[in-house]
Amino acid sequence: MTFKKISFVFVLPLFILISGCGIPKIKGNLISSKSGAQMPDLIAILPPDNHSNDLTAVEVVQRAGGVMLTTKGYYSIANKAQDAELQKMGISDGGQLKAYRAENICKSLGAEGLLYSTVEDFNEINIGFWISKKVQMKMSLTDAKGENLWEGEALYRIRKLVINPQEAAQAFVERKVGELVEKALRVHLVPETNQAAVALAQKITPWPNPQDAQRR
Amino acid sequence: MRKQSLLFLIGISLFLSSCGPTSNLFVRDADLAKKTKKLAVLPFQDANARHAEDTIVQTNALTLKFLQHAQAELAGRYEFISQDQIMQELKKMGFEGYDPNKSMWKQAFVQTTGYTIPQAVQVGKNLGADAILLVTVAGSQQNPVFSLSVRMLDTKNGKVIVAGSAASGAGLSFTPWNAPMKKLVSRIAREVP
Repeated sequence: MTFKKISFVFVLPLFILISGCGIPKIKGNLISSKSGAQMPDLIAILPPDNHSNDLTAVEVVQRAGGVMLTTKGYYSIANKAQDAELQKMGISDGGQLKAYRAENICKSLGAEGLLYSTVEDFNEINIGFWISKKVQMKMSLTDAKGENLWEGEALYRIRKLVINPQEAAQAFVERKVGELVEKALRVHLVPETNQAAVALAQKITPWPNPQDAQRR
Repeated sequence: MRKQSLLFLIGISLFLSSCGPTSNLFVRDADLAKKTKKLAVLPFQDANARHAEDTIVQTNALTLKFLQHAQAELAGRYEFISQDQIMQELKKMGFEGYDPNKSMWKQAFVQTTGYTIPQAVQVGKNLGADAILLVTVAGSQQNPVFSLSVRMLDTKNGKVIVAGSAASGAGLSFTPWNAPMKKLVSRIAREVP
């Protein structure tokens, strides 16, 4: 292989990698939706099934779900009192929810609908020169009988290569300060998760249904 | 010249209409709505934060702000149960935080427990209210920057009597919560029997 060919093989992927860097990819997709369905008036946001290694994802995703639903007119709650009620039923983790009937959960929480979610990815890497953040989740709304009203997925991803050493040092320090704040508040990747959820909000069926939503 | 000014006026009115808040209001049970006289407005729940340190000040103030609008427009129609009584009843159930009667700084590090829907209905029942008003608020960096959802529930059976929501418009505002709250309150005054 000539020198020219070798350098081309190295330069091209590097160029592609850098060209996609720094700009966040925020996406919300609707997977399915029950047409003409009336959306429930009272919704309980359930703890997500967390497939990531980050335990703080549970809280952050629940809150992002709340923001997403409230902006579309839904009344939804997720709080400690609700968690305590779920614990009385034996639910302490979102992964256990499949074993329980939606009807029973709704009855216990006084809700007419449930927001289920799955955290597929929730991670952040910041080593100064390389910053990467990814939040990927699925959300679905069911009625009290457990029938799916809509289901969607949301993604936030950013990959940034910092070439300037001064900028890299600054990014590293910023991350360390951020870690301290996040440790105190026990949350992580909050704006990123919210942005992904808001992207999904643009696609979901607004409360109470598309015909009547935002009439005036 | 006339045409130009007409087009200008149409443009301006279209622009201004996009700045106004949007809202929904549905009366789910007109009979129950007619019978509702005594109302308990529970402290607002915030969709944004589970750890309330950062938003307790805002939610606390919003509950009072909403009550201010509601009492001004709906005073003749509903008797509002005082926030002191509501807080006392909620605290019996282990509720912490969002006390609109306390100084915001005293509550700065209170971790809110919130309340479930059946707990809220029970609070209303214990206080002798005909109905309770539950509100969630959410803030966002994108439009709408502020939104709220309101549900009026019967205290006897937990049934939804009135359901509504409102969101701020596209216009810039330092107080984006004011217009949607006012709009919702005035629609309740006009449309709820």
